[in-house]
Amino acid sequence: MLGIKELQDQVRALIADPAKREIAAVLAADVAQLGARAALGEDVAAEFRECKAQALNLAAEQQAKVQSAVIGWLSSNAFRIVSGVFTGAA
Amino acid sequence: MNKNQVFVLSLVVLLCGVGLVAFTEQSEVGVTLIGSVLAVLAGAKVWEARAAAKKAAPLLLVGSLALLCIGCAGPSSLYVQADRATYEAVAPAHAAYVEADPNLSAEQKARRLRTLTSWDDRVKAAEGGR
Repeated sequence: MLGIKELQDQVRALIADPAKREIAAVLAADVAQLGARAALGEDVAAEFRECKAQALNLAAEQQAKVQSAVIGWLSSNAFRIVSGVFTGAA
Repeated sequence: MNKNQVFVLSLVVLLCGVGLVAFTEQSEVGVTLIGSVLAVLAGAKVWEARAAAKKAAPLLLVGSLALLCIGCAGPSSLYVQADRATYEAVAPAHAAYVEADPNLSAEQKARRLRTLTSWDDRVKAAEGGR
């Protein structure tokens, strides 16, 4: 499993603007963690609305980088978990 | 610059306008699109009226680029002023409410305050960009 800190480090490396780097990293971690909680059935709609507002307040290019990092992180973890369960490979 | 080049440039400007409409929400894309369409129409005219090509080409090019720049300029200053005024009116009260709300966890409070910070950052960026 890739930890949430790895995701944040990835985002920090992608965001050039130092003023936006930390808010983008926290946002990425927030979205990933809220996604996991939503998958467990928790109602996090209000929290997602906050994340959406924060994301839209970033520049478009920064939004795309955060989105891409979160999707990559989730996909990678999903692949590791599923392949670990079904094949024992991971 | 010959008439073929003028036409191709006008077409490129049109495509830029359409691209802005498709991918940009904050820019004044209507201006860009109208400017681009006018540029293409003008390009077509130049294509037809070959004799006028030499005189019309530089004007057309400058006009098209100017319209494209206007379209790329981002939100208007009135929009930014309104956004700043709304932030000033809403954010302090909302922050105070969030901090005092006993139903919110520390994590939820921090998230809501980050939303306000990101709003302020966006307005500052827009203010700095003009």
